[in-house]
Amino acid sequence: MADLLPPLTAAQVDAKTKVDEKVDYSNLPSPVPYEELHREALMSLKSDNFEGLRFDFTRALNQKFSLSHSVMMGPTEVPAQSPETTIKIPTAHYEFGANYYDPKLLLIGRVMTDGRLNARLKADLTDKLVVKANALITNEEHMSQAMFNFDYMGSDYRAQLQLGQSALIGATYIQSVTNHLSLGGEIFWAGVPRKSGIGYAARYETDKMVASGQVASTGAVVMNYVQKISDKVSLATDFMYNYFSRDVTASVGYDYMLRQARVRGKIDSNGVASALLEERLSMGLNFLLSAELDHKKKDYKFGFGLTVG
Amino acid sequence: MFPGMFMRKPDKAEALKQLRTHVALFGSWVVIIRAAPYVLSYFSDSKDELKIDF
Repeated sequence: MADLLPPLTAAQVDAKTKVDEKVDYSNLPSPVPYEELHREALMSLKSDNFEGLRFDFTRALNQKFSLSHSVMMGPTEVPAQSPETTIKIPTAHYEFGANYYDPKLLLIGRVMTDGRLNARLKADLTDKLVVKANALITNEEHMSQAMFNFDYMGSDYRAQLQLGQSALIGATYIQSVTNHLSLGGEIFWAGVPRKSGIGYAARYETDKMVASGQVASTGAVVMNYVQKISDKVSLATDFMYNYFSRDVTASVGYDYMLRQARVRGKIDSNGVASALLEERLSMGLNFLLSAELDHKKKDYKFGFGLTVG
Repeated sequence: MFPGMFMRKPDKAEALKQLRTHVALFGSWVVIIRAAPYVLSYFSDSKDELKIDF
């Protein structure tokens, strides 16, 4: 609608709308979960780029139960002595998955040919209390881990308690302060290294834009901005900085939604440019093309994939 | 993860002291942002009264 009007008139309409808008503080909206604070930016800037072949096949056995088979073939990067050097080893994985989906209960299991098992659970205990759990079990000693999440959804806030192995405890809280602004915080205690940390976050969103920022006592600073250009195009930018290590990265990206395809791309200040194309060839058949070029490391990755089901 | 494993484990009393500080800061922040809508609502209602006068 705004696109049909001249820019000045559109601006006036928007301004009038904003002036007339009345904040009902007794009926504020529910904020997004704390861990999804940057979700719009992540859509563009953290796409699932991959290297080699990827083939995913999902078959529904009935309304709630489905099985999945995944094949991944391609190089895997191994830790190298020098950060400038990249060493890759050809690998192949097959992954078998079982999924159960019910409005109140979600179960996901994945087992890989190297013996690793991944499990996830999400259960709505009541309208307001949700339990999430995930576990990774491996053959290697001391590498298995588990995490539990208890999410409570109030009318205008969300609170979360996290429990993990090695005496890991965390909590988050996020509150809608106005219709568009929400503020949050988090705290964690890691018992084994005896470390605690605290973080603060803020998020401002309208129909057309989302801005979010986060700072933590670990020294991490994150800022994101996403602007919706039209129904089909979003532009995103983020800035990540660590006060102690002095690592800094900035990136810009786009998310372009076409009728049968979606293209996402980004370039960052480390000279890494990437793009991901997901195209629906027909009902239940998706085609993936992935490219990631790290010009500084001279590390170039190309991948293609098919998704069935 | 690995760099953290080699870092010296802080003294327990010192670590607990820092944890108490973080808990106090987190609790204060939660109280502040929990109270913010009520404060804004109060001032917003005041404006309403002014509007009624006009």
